[in-house]
This record gives sequence, C-alpha cells and structure tokens, in this order.
Amino acid sequence: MTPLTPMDANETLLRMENVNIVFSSPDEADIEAVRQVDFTLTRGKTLALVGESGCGKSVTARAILRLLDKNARIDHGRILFSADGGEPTDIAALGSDSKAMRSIRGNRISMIFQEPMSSLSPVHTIGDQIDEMIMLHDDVEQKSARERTVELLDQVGIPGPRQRADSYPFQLSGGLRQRAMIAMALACKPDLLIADEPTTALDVTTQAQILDLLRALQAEYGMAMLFITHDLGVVAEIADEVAVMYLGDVVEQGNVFDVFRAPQHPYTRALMSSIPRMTRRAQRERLNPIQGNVPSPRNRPEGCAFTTRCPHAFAPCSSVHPGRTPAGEGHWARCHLLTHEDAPRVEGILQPGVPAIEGDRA
Amino acid sequence: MTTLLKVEDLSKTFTLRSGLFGEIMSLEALSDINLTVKAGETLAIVGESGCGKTTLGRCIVRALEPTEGRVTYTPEPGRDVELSALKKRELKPWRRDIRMIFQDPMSSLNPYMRVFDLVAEPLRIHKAARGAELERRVVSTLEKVGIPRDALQRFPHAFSGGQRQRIGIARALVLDPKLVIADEAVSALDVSIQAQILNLLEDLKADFGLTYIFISHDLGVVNYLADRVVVMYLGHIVETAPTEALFERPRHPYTEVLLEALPIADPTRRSRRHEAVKGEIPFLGNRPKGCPFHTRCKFAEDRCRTEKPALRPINGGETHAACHFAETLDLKGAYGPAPATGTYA
Ligand SMILES: Nc1ncnc2c1ncn2[C@@H]1O[C@H](COP(=O)(O)OP(=O)(O)OP(=O)(O)O)[C@@H](O)[C@H]1O
Ligand SMILES: Nc1ncnc2c1ncn2[C@@H]1O[C@H](COP(=O)(O)OP(=O)(O)OP(=O)(O)O)[C@@H](O)[C@H]1O
Ligand code: SF4
Ligand SMILES: [Mg+2]
Ligand SMILES: [Mg+2]
Repeated sequence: MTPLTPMDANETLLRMENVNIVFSSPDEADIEAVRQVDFTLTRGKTLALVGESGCGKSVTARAILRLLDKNARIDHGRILFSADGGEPTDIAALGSDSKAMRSIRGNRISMIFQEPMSSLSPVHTIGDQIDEMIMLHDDVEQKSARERTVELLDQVGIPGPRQRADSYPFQLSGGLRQRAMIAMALACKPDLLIADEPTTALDVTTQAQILDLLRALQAEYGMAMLFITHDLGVVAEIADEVAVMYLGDVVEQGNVFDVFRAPQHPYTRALMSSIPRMTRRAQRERLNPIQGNVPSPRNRPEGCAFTTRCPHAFAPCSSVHPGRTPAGEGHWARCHLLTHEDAPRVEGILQPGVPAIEGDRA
Repeated sequence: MTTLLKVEDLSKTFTLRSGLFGEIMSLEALSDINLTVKAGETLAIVGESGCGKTTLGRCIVRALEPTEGRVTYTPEPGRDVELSALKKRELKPWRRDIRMIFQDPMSSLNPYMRVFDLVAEPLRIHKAARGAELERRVVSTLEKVGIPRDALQRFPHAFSGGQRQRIGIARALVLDPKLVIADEAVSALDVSIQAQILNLLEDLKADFGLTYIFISHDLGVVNYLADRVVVMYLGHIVETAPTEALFERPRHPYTEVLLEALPIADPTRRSRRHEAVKGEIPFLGNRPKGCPFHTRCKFAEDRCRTEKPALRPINGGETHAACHFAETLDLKGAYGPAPATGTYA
C-alpha cells in the first residue's frame, strides 16, 4: 500500500483521486458508471459538481458517504478525508458499515437530497427526527436536544419553530420541508455538507431563499459544501469552485470565475453556449447545442468521453484518455487540445505554442 | 399584427371536498384573465408553481371548462369564433388549429404505439388524411423535427428524452396548427437537449408562421424566446409587457422579485441580488383581500390590503400592470448595464 500523503493542514478537507464506481448485475456485464473522478473540497468553500442527467453526480456523492447500492463497488482511486487536519482517512478503503465509516456519516459528513420527503420519515414529527439526530451525535437528554432542535429550526428560517417542530413532513410546504432537512443535516455540525440538487424541485423564489440560507449557514459553521446541480445559473450564484462532469469523468475543475470566463474543456464550453444568456435583444445569439446524444457508459469511448460529440476531436481523442492539464491557478482540464503540439487551434483554449492573450483579465 | 386569440374575463373555480366532514371548498385558480395573442408572436406565460398557467392553457383548448368568460379565436380577419360558447362537437374542427405540447414527453406518449402511429393518430382522429397522403405528412413532419426515417417503427422507450419531446412536437404539428400551446415543453430536458428544442421551435415558427403560447417558469428561456410576457400570481395576471421592456424595467413588484431570484449564469453578476423575497405563496383557498401580492410585497401600504389594483396600461404604453404604484416605482430589471453606444470619447 502506498502511504497516504498528508494534505494541506488547514485547506483541503477531502480529495477524490481517480475514483471509479462500477455496478454489477447478475445477467449483464459490469457498468463503469463513473470512470474517473478527481476533485478537491476546501474548508469553508463550496464546490459545485455540475453535469447533465446520468453523468454520475449522485453516485459520486453517495460514494463519499459509502451509501451506494449493494451491487456497486469502487475499483480504484482514493477518497482522502481529513476532518482535523491530521492524517487523512481513505474512505474508499473503509467498510461501508464499519465503525469508522458510521462515525464519519453521523458526525462529519451529512447530506441533503432533492426530494426531502424521501429522506424524512413520514410517521415522525420533524422535531422528533432532529432530536434523534442530536442525541445520536451528542450524548444529551431529549429535553436539551429539543432546545437545540428549536434553535436549529429557527436558524434555518422556519417561523414559529417550537410549534412547527410538532409538524409531520406532509404538513409543510416544499420550501419548509427542505429547510427542515437542512436543519437535520446541520444537527451534527458537519465538516462537510453534501447537497444533491437541493433546490431543483423548488420555485425560483424559494430556491433563492434556500441558496441564501445555505450561504449564510456555511459562513457561520465554516463547513465545506459539495453542491450538486445541473443548473449553471445556480453554480454561478453559489459556488467558489466548479467541477464539470461528463459521462463519468470530471473533465474540468477550477475557480468559478475562471471557469465561466475562460472554460478550457470543449464540453464545458459547449454547455455554456447551450444556455440562453440574460441579454437584450440586440446581443441575442442563437443557441449552439451540442450535437447528438450522450452515449451510455457501456459505449463510452476508450479515450476522451466527449470524443463522439466534440467539434474539435482529432487523432488521439478516441483512443487515449487525456490527463489532467493545468490551465491556471487551481484550474485544470482533461483534454488533448491543451497538450498536443499538432492539435487543431481553438480560440480561447490555452494551447502549446500559442501565447495567452494578455489583458484578458482586464 | 392581427389578433389570433382573445381571452376575456376568464375565471376558473375548482370545487373540492376537504376536511373531516367533506366540506365543499372552492379554489379560484384563475380570476378575471384578459389577454390577447397576436398572430405570429410568441407569448410567454410565467409564474411560480400553482399560479394557474396550466389551467389557463387547458381552459383555452377547453380541456377544462372555464367557470366564466370568453375565448375567441380569429382564424382569418373578420371571422371570430367564440370557442367558449361552442358545443364539444362543434369544437372539433378548431382543435386542429390549436394544439398543446405537454411537459412530460414520456407520460404523454402511449408506450405501446410506434412512432409512425403516434404521429398519424391526430390525422386519423380528425380524418385529415389517409393512405399515401397520411404517410407523406407523417414522414415529412417527423423529418422537420429531426427524427430519422429509419426510426418510424420504433416504440417511444427506444428514444432519448429530447427525441421523445420531438415526437410530442410532431404530434402537435402534423395537423398544420396555427397556434401551439407549449406547457413547460423544455423544462424536463437537459440543457444541451433543451437548446436543440428551442432552436427547433424557433425554426418552425419562422418556416410556418406559427404562433406560440409558451408556458414556462424559466425566465432565462422566456427572455430568449418570447416576444411578450404575461406574469401570473395566484390566478391573476399582474403584469404583461413586451419581453425586453419587462426584463429592462419591470412594473410590478412581483415581477421584480422573480427577476431578482433568477439565477444568472455569470458569477460576476452575483452582487446584483439583495436578499430573497420573504414568505411563501399563500394557499389559493385563502387568497388575500386587496392586492393578491400584498402579503409579500415590500411596497405594500394600507390601500393594498383592501383595494384590488386593476390591470391597466402604464404611461400609455404597451406594458400593463396591476399595482397601485406601477407608474412611480423604480424597479430593477435583469439585464446588466446597457452596452455603451455611440463613439468613444
Ligand atoms: N444501482 C444502479 N445500478 C446500475 N446502474 C446505476 C445504478 N445507480 C446508478 N446507475 C447508473 O449510474 C449513472 C450515474 O447515475 P447518477 O444517478 O449518479 O446520475 P446523475 O448525474 O445524478 O443524474 P441526474 O442529474 O439525473 O440526477 C447512470 O448511468 C445510472 O444509470
Ligand atoms: N383538477 C383540479 N382540481 C382542483 N384543483 C386544481 C385542479 N387543477 C389545478 N388545481 C389547482 O389550481 C391551481 C393552479 O394549478 P396549475 O396546474 O394551473 O398551476 P401551474 O401554474 O401550471 O403550476 P406548475 O408550475 O406547478 O405546473 C393550483 O392551486 C392547483 O392545485
Ligand atoms: S480531448 Fe478531444 S474529444 Fe475530448 S474534448 Fe478535447 S478535443 Fe474534444
Ligand atoms: Mg442525481
Ligand atoms: Mg403547470
């Protein structure tokens, strides 16, 4: 076994390194749903994991908590987690039901889901459910747990928290349920909060309220957040960092300002040009959709996952899996255009032998 | 532009049984809706979940019976057909002209029918074509929406979400309609597929002079596609305006709230937001008196709690708004600073 490298003491909280996730079934060949995930979560910061339906976002999130289905396994890669800045633990190497893993799930990392109904019990009041989380975490009596519950419900903006604690989930609106879910996730004062499409089912005004709330809570608790979404607008509102995922690969990661200003992977660029911009008529540009459809993971090209739809694909793309190439401070992409001398020239991509355009940042 | 469709004083009340003793309760899902759709335009209807967008679309095509009001269709200048007064049987010929596309491409397609038959079905129901003519129309419509010829005998499950939505669009188009009502037609799709469908809708409009009522909760898409916008709140129209005017300077506080909440895909514009609007949409069953928005409006005064503002033209322009202070409020739009014009100094 290779020794685990210590991580930057105060910065990095969790690092995914080259992780894959494979599903097996009794009568079909295995599916490698996720082929290569790399990203880094920083304390106090939000990383948005963005990509289209089926690219592997939720599965990746569940892998961090080791909550994958029984037929799933991680073949390679490491999920290095260091809650206190000390020696990191490789979550991928822990048993999913081991004591260490259960303690990480209950104390260090918590998760909120798109549909709060699926993770709240319909037969218990939200107050009882949050009390229980608190008692599990801090050895306290029900009575003082309830005080903390009320405090939490108040903090997530539920009006009349003491009375509302006695409501059942079905008695709350979608927005209030999502707030209750957030309160429950915060009960253990996590180091990392994973939010899987927490606002996708909500109206825009409720979504804005929840985004504001998550931002405020993060500032207060100092936790890292992994925010999963397919909405680039939401990414721009909430993220410090972005990781873009396509067909089971993370193809680009960087600071949100850099990635939106100068996306380096052709998929990221294509994604950006397929959403309507908030512009006046005179600046309106026709959308530029990505050609074709996402192949199934079974038909994923050997090389770059995006090859079959990439407008710039050239010789090595279909057969050689591109490595991570730096494209700026903390910004990298996985594309051959960034490294090959004989690659076709694409404006806006940092290529060998082409000087970066100065004044771009001005 | 001539008027194609006119909706006047339309209301729709649902009655429900609720509570322990099955009391009858009524929900006014649409209240006094007035709007016109001009031939050749794309009119968007926006607003949050439950505000009545789908109900309005369904009342127009009479998939639901309005409780009150008129819907008048003008197939050619000088000929007005009052759809809301027709018997179901008399309605049939007009059902060819006005078609609806639904949100969920999977549940709106019969899984046991092949693509060819799915698209031929409306022609058969309306006895609009048979034999070789029917085949020609089905094939050419599928071609227009980009479904390949060799896929005609497949079942819906063999298509991607975007392709299924194209099949839904082909079903609407095969009867050569004049007005297409698209209810959240792109909302369930991934952005790359959504872009394909938006381009397709735009091309079809240009090629065949279609008119769209585009129902959506996504204001980014609406800004891109629509010529005019109708904003609804709790079953009321609160503002209607040409798209650019609405996004440049909204006149109703609720429109401003919607625009401010809209996530814009540009991190440098984050700071435009103050703070999300407080509170939740009230339950339809106890709609506030006075202005329906007053419980959440930061400009509300006493008058708003008692007197319902009328939807009226603002400063004699095309914009109509239903707020007592619409003329004087200085509300914030969604566009960035205007681009510099003229020569450099
Ligand atoms: N239990 C399972 N068995 C087999 N394949 C699975 C299983 N769970 C997920 N997958 C596959 O893994 C891939 C990734 O799924 P995942 O749910 O992570 O996508 P996602 O990015 O979260 O998509 P969405 O935006 O639709 O939520 C998909 O191809 C999916 O079919
Ligand atoms: N058949 C029905 N019986 C009773 N109430 C109904 C019925 N159909 C709709 N409603 C109610 O009427 C109101 C308007 O519903 P509608 O479906 O038109 O909203 P919408 O604007 O399309 O919302 P969404 O964005 O969620 O699709 C809602 O409060 C809804 O619960
Ligand atoms: S590696 Fe090749 S196929 Fe993949 S994105 Fe880059 S240019 Fe396109
Ligand atoms: Mg998911
Ligand atoms: Mg609807």
